[in-house]
Amino acid sequence: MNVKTVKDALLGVGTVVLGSAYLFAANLLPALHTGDPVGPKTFPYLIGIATLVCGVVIGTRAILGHSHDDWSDEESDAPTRMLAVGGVYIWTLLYFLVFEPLGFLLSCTMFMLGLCFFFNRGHPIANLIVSFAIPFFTYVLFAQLGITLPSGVFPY
Amino acid sequence: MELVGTVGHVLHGFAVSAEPNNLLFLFIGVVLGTLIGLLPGIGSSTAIALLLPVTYGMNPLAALIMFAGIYYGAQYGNTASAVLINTPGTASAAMTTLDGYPMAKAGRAGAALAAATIASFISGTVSIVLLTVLAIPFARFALDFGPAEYFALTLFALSAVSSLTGRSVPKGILAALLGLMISTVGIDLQSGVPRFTMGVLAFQDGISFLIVIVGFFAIAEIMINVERWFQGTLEPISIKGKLWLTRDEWRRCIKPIIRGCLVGFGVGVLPGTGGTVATVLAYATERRLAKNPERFGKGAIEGVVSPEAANNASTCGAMVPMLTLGVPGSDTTAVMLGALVLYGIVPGPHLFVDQPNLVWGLINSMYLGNVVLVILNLPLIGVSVRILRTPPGILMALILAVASVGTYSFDNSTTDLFAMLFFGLAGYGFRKLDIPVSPLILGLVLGSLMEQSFRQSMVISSGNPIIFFSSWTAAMLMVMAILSLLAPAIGHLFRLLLKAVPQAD
Repeated sequence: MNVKTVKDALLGVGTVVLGSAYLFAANLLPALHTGDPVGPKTFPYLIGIATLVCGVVIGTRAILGHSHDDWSDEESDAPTRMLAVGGVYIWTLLYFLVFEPLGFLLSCTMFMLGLCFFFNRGHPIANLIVSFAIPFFTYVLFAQLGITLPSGVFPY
Repeated sequence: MELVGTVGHVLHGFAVSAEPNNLLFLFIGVVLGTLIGLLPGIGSSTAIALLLPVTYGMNPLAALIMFAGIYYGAQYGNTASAVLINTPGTASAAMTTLDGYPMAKAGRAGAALAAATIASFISGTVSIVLLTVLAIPFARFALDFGPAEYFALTLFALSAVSSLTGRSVPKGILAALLGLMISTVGIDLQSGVPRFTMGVLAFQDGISFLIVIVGFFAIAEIMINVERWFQGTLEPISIKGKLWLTRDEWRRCIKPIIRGCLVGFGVGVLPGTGGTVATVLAYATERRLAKNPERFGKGAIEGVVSPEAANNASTCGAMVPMLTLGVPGSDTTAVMLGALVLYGIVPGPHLFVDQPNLVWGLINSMYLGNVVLVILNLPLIGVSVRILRTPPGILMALILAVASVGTYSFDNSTTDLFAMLFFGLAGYGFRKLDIPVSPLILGLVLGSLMEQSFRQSMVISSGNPIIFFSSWTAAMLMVMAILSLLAPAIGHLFRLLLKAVPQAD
């Protein structure tokens, strides 16, 4: 069993779980027939059943070894790269959490400074210019379009 | 549709597309498209997704003209990163690297780029003519569709896209089903019942298409770029030597351009098969027809112009089913179709009757767009090296900032931001698990139309599903939907049989 087989088998299981959960939720919907022989439940039922079948097929194919072997550079998945992806993800999440309390200008500038100084090392001046200019001009542009972004700690 | 009336609409479309406002957005679109094509790591669907919130409330025609400009403009820009750093910005530029990069190494980068630009221009213009000619019969064919035919059509579109885009049909179907699931979230229009909202008030109106595509394209693409960042960047080859081709080279280019154009357009019309399949087919055709095929892969000019021509033609081809049937032929047209729905325009066969100015204004703007692109791109060849040097670190930060501000401004809510991040994670998972994204986008866009036509059909037939086979058109589409899902399996069986025959001898 290689990594791909395990991944595909798990995907199959996940799909079956998702399909079941969706069917369960669809079953809880009230069956209202307002001049409509099928009501709001039928279409979701069909999707749910198709998902279940799909999950079974994906899982079975993985176990029988029909998964495609010509996948991209999966083997070179270094942990540092995954760590970096996770880091960017959490950094973005933090940015969204402070988006309204701190305001767009401050939060976006800090967010961009962090990313630029990590991923574009050795060019501090360019990083500073971009990180301050982009949020500022975005704010002005959106104000021109009549969209107010959260001002947060600044008066305007 | 009377012929005279149609010609009138076509001509009026030129007047519409030449309005100053539309010209401005055409120009913005093609410039942005070229830039986006040049920058490795962001595709035209991402760019359109990022711009959607800004265009909300704009004149739909101007927005669509701009989006289309980005779409075909990006095909021009794509070439430079393929030729100069051997890195295709999108999968559809991969074939260009095969001969474009060897040409650049041999000191003929300028000539390769110039030939590609001219090929894109010729092919782009020819395929707009094809689009103009084909659009009317296509739309007329679908004009008298009832709900049953429409349901069968959407089912066929979904199954064709699911089976043609990815490497595995079940994964394609899974993506389509997930798209349909997302489309069922929110209050059911017919009964007023809230469905699958998970108690979140913001989901009562449904999950906005915009949030899903920004997540699946922009956020997921950034995560992939973060990974790629660790592989380091490649230094572009500088442009030296003659920019222009020799007379002999031009002579050798003409036929490959025309063939590439026809192959690309044909493939583009099919749902789900975008530029990638078109370029592979065009390149293979040229190699097979060549007198000395061993030159291919070593810097043959035919190997550059034919995929470039095919790529450009496929973008036009993909517009045919999108505009006439409301069924997109590629990722980017799926996003554009979503934009139409967002602007409150119902896509489908009636678009040509209800919105002739929109359709013909859009199509005719493309003639001018291609002229602007060729004028813009030829002098830009020298500058493209510099744009390619844009630090990827800054680019990532920029895209994330734009994505977040756009999504927030759509509804002034941070719930949308978190939902976008969730879909970004899902999109990243899709790429890691090799699940194609286009079926999901299509399922999301077509989901509500599909359910409505399903339920209307059921009302007509009092709940008897035989209605989906009651007319020839509907039955044919249903059979095609089923066949397209089974096609890879049948092909597999066929290959097994072929293998078995020589062994039996």
